[in-house]
Amino acid sequence: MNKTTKIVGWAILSSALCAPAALGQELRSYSGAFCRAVSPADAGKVSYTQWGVQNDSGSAANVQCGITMQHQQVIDRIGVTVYDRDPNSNICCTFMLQNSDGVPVWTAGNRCSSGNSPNWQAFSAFTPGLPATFGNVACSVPPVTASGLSHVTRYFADDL
Amino acid sequence: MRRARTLTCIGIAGVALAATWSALRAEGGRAPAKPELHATLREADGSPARPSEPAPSAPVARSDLAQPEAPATPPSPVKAQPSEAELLAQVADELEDKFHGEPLDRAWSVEMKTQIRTTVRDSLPSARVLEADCATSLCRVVLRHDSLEEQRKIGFVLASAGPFQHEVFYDYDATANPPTTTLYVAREGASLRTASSSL
Repeated sequence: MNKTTKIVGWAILSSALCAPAALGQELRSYSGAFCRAVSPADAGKVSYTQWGVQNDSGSAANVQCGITMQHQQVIDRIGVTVYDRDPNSNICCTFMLQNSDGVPVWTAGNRCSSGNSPNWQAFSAFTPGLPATFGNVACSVPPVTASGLSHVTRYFADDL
Repeated sequence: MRRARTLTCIGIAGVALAATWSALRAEGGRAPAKPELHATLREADGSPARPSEPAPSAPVARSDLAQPEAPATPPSPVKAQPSEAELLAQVADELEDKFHGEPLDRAWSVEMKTQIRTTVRDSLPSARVLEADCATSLCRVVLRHDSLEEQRKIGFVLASAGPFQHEVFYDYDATANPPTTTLYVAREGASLRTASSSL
């Protein structure tokens, strides 16, 4: 390996290592399998796989997904990755940041997937740049359809 | 901290690129022929070698420059991190400024104020709307609560209710008696982000 190759390799490696710092950093990312059903009725509708939480029933199911931050971590964005297989309704979520007492300091509702697709979709909401100790993502997952099951696969918070 | 890390990385990347460029030049490489490389090739043919120069983009560390040493100064005391409450108060101040800086969209404002009062009455019967004003992209609402317990509930109730479902920032005043909360409510399609949100 000559000197040029080594230097070019080092440059690529350093760029790759630095990219997350320059472009923003994902602070917290969780599998949708961490989400829980909101009520006993919802618990009877959902199941869990490597694609997170899914709704196996014929009616919408409500799940909520918790996040713990580092104390006073400033959060710029919170969002989800989903699979929406229902042509008639979307996966809609409400995002929340809470202070150290668990009291909401910021909420953003009515954030939804767009149409149904075999592929994943992601949507998120930008905060005003708030310190938070906890976060919460509450989603309505559509029923199973001929197109398949709808899932909440991942949820995240970051400081872009 | 993040800015410092980013600057460090930009510095590293700059040095790496400069070093790469220098190495390519030194090898008289196979890079696309450019005027500067023609000059390098001439040097390889036996022309007088030019003294090596640092690449224009290579940062030079200040410590490498010959400068008289500055007198040692005592390290500055560690600045205390602002508390969560202070950071939230800062955001509230910025949103207050943003609200007061907006012109009035009269038609939207009137409609929103009506919706806000109706929604609070229906969703939070124990709360009272002390103030409700809307500008162009933002509304400012002040609620009074019967108790601290009632005050803590409002975010969970309003997050998906009527005009509050788009985006809301809650500024709690638990010291007031009775407790009050100022809500900054974003118009649909608007954002509560301020000029300093992404700094």
